[in-house]
Amino acid sequence: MYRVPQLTRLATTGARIVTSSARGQQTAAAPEKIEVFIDGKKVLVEPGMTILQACALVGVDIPRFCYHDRLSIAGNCRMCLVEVEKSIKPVASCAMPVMKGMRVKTDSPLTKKAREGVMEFLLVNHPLDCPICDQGGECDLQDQSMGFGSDRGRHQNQYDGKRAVEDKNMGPLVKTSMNRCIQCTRCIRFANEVAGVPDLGSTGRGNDMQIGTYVDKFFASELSGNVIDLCPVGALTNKPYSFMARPWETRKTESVDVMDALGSNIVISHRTGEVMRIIPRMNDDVNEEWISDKTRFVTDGLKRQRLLAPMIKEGGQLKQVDWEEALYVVARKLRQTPADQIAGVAGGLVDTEALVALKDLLNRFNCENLYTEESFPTVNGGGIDLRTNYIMNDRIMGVEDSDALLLIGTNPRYEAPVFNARIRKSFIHYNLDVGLIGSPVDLTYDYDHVGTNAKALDDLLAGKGSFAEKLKSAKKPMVVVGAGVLQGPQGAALLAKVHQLADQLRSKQSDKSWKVVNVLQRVAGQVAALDIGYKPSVEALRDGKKSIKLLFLLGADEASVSRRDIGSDTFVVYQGHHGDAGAEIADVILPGAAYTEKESTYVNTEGRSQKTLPAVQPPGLARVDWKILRALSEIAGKALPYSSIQEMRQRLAQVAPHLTRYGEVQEANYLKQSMELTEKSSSAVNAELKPAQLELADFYMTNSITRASPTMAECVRAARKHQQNPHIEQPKRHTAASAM
Amino acid sequence: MASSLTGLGGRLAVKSGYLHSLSRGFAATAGAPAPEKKPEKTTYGPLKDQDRIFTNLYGRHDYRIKGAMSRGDWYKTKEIILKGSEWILKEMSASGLRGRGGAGFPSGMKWGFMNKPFDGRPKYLVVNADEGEPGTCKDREIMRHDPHKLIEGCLIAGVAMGARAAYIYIRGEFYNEAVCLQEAIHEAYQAGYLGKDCCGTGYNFDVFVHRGAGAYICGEETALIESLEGKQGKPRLKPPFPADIGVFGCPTTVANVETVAVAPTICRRGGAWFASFGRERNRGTKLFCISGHVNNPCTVEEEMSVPLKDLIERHCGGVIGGWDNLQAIIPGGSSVPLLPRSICDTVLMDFDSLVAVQSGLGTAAVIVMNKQVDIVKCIARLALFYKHESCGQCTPCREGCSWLNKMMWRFVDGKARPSEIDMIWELSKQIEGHTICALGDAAAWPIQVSASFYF
Amino acid sequence: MTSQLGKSRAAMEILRRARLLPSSSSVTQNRTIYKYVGENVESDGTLKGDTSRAFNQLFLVELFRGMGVVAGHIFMEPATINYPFEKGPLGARFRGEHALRRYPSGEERCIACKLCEAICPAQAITIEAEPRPDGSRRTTRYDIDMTKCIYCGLCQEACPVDAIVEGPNFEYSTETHEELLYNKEKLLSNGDRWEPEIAANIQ
Repeated sequence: MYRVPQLTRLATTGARIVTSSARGQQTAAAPEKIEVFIDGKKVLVEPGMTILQACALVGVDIPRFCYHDRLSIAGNCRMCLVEVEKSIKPVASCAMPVMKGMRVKTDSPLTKKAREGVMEFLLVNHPLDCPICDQGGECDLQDQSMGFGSDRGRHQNQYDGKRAVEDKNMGPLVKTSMNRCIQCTRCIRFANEVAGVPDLGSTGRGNDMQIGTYVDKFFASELSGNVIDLCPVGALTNKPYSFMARPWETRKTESVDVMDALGSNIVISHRTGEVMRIIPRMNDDVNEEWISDKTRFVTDGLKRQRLLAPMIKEGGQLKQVDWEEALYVVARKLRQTPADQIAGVAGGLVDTEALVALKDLLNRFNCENLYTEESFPTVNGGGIDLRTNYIMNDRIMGVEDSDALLLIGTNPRYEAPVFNARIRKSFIHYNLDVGLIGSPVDLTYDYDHVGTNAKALDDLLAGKGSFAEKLKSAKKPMVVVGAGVLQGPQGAALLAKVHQLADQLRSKQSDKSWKVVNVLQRVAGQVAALDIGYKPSVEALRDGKKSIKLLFLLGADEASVSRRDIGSDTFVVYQGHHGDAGAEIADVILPGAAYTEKESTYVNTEGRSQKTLPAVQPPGLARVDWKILRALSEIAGKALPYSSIQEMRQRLAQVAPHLTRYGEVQEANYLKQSMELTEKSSSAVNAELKPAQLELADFYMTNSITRASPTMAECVRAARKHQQNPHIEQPKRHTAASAM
Repeated sequence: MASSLTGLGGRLAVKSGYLHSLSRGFAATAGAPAPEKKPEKTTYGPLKDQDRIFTNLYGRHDYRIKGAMSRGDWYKTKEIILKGSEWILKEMSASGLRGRGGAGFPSGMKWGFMNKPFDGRPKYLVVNADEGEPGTCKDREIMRHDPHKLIEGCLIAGVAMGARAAYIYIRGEFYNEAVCLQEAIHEAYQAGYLGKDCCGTGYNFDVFVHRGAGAYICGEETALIESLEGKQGKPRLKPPFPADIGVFGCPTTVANVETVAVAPTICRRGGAWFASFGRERNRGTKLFCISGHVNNPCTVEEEMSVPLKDLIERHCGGVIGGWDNLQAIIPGGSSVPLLPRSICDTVLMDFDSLVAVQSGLGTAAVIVMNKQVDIVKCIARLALFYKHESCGQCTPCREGCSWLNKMMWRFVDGKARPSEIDMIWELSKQIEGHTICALGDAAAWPIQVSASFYF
Repeated sequence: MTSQLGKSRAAMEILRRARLLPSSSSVTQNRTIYKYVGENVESDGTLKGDTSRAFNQLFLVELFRGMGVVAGHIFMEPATINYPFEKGPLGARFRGEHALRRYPSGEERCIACKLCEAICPAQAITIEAEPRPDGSRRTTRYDIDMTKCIYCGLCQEACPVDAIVEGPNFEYSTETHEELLYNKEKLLSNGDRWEPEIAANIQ
């Protein structure tokens, strides 16, 4: 496990200084800017910046292959060579720090010659298979050879031939075509630095150098897909998407991911009404430019197991009907059933608009039985009444400012892979100390394993153990508790304990905006549902506590409410997009739209509301969820007062104004009140904190879309097989403190 | 090893009895150097026997500590150490010693870079004993026959730069040499010259031998550091230089075996003594390794600036077939451009004069080629070597070396067009100066020059 | 008319000699040949002219001259060809009906690079692709709407493997529009049928 040593970091990664200072990491006064000249233009830059970055400041784009903003500097492609006055040789601008008075010429004959030379060398062994290469059209090598290469090649193919490299099998997600590799080592650096899986590396030397997994094995990372974006050529491509479409024929829609509660920003590439692929969109506050494999490769799940038409169960068989009939049946039930016998349950993927519409609808029928499938403690500390209790108050970005992080009952690596990458980044570059209470899992970085039982919290409260010291001495400690362990009867007490610990840590803070306590939600719709006022638990519906005669499942697919719980005479309406657990028990099915098919709002775990845009039409007769509910309300005789997305949004803003402030995080206040409401309990919470996703195979299938995806099924198979591979040492991490 | 020994063939009579003169020299020059400027010499060589530093170059004597001490090693080391870092650096600067590994950077200055205020990180000396340059066999002779010179040199250089330890990164193929060296280190530890309280001076210094795994590129200083750290031997980007961030992230100086091994003698006999050899800026004595088409290939210690012709005629019994049968000479190991015959007649063997003829002293490994040799094939063989040894990290070298190699062998086979001669020259220009380390330059130079002279 | 021209030429020559007009070697271009487009002057006013005019009119000289041309054409080869039975010559670069070619091994050439689809100015080509079980990149759908096609030939120019070509066939009229919506099968069979001609033309 490597951590960049303090001094090395300062000297070698000048690139980071820029970002870190932007984060307010460096409290010292900004160093004096120095003056350099780029093509004669004067520019003031911070010392430690590289020439390439200085050039970017004046809008001069330096061609590059190996350099990447978020990876360490390799300086090996030599494409970024520029002429610097008083230097005999051209210098690699990606690695050379600026010096006072430096005069850089990015357009001189020497620079051009150098670029052309490097380009020629890169193309010598690069196959001329652009027509069958999936990178064609978005290939850095293609673009740069047009811009900087020579118009003719001098390589004598008939005599000298080209290099042939065996393709590597990296599993079901990343397709390799190693002939095309230009050895930029971006993938290696990504795997080692960001993903924290040292599976990729180079073997051989000179012209025989190869990039690969050393042995034939699955690239076992939850972030593996990002190497596809990083690869400047077509050596690593998207396997499920292979040969499907060309970049110029797809349309791109900017949207937000719902596979986890982070709300990673994505771009959906689609063509002819079909989602072709999903690629990340840069958002430094949320996902930088990474997305998890689930986010990226879920696309085929959007096309399978879809509910295409309304259906009504007749004699145990679902029969396809038209919308009118289905809505009529539901509306009649709605009118006939007494209010206290109606209940609505929302699943984890439901958008805010649908949540509000369902709530409004049932409220019109005087029904307040609205629940979310994902549960959350409601008592103690104000439960869900105060927003502080259920969001990540210190933000995702906060991890970079933090210096001690305690994870409780969560495995961020699989619950929120991009967040985990952020923790790892902070661990490596900003010396974050991480502690974990919960099942010991491989987090890709060292951590102090404080305990597996919640009792360990009491030790921390009492200041016992080395990690307690670290937490106590930390300037900005963060406690992140996984929503998974807050489920169940002990959840409330655990949350109270977490608050107690956070309060203790906070009391030493000078910065009062730093809240310490953070909740990492597991599903995308949860924060919005709690913001709106859903009750977070279906416990009330279980075991016949309530006699429910009409159950409205809005995308509830986790089988939290079964037929056994509600009795056979309950009329179940399922509205959602996939034929999964919810549709199985339904009497009426109303086909809804998936997140790629509707304009909707999601609030991520830090309380940031973000907007998805419709990339494609919902398939078949499926419709956007809130519109279905609106239509239903009309037929049921209590029309909801919105009929366009604008009006819908106005309603959202009425319910909670922050829901329509897209991209912004609404600060959760009332921290003090929430503390006051917290029940101080001295008794220890005795619960084993075991997150649901412990290993890679658990990661891929967590919701109805992923369960429908053959690619994800393939991944689970590959991950299982990988575990049984006798030639691979299964990583055993958290060694740092296992001695403790 | 056997072949090179037989090659030496008893030409150089073993000089005995200059231990006496050596110690006298030390005593004489330990004081202030002569203030008046001596008139510059105009003729160089032959080196007198009493001025030789490496007195057991041919392994005729015992390499162990007893033999070494009888040759003057470890003599008054304690005094030298006690004179302190400043004094050693001054002597080294006065001696005008330039790095013997090829680049020829002034050693006194280089070691002085390490004399920075202590910042909590230990400093290290790394001795580059990864002698892989084709034609070069000087460090090997030192390590197997005079290992104590090197070890004592490590200590003195270590003192000069305040280093905590020295790592001798020895080429993996040099098994026997590593054994000799390790044995010598063991002896030095036992004698109390190394370890805690070296020579009774209170200075703590350790010497470790690290065997490489057989990569030429690990002779490049930053690649060597990487390799020493247990990573792939691939050169690092500079800056930061090893003097800032070297091995294990600590300030490091990488020095050649010969550079380090001459340091004790310089300190004992004085920088001025060393500076009395050779031309201005090219001082001292130097080990020359002459191979190829000479009657007696050998490694010999000679004065710097000795004329190339003298060197070959005097020590190697001349070129096979006579001087007129000479075709070309590579004066400093495979990575410097070769000299065509016309230049060989007059050129002096030192850094500056060889640079003046677009070549370089390199490691002073003289490779002689007479007219019976197919020079294109020779260069093709070198191209193959560099192709094989390129680390593959940066593009111009990785792709360029293999391309050059393929083209060169086509030239050998006669399958190329005349226009490709210009092309190969241009290609070599595209490699030269565009790479992270100097291997790209080294691969390009022989081809560049031969393309302009011989094709 | 010719005589007029001759006269004007002679007049120009005189003028040039008198250095009133620039010489022909001068930089400015001189027009020396003019075509008279005004009313036809039948006589030049001299007796000789009047006589010849009367002669021409009296004996219908022009009519006979015209008849002579007609008579001459009776013995000439006809300009038209007997189309369905005879066909005119086609250039090697004639752009006719599209075809998808195969390699001699029988493997289809098309690699689904979609360059033809991209370049088609009429957007007549639709391609869908996916990996074939052997891993190679192939089309699953290759449609050309022949009624959209403008026969510009850009598709065959864009093709890196000479798969899509416009063959020499121009006789593929159909009775319905649907028949002109070619799919991959049709195009491949076209290729098989016309391969000898196409291969010869591509040479």
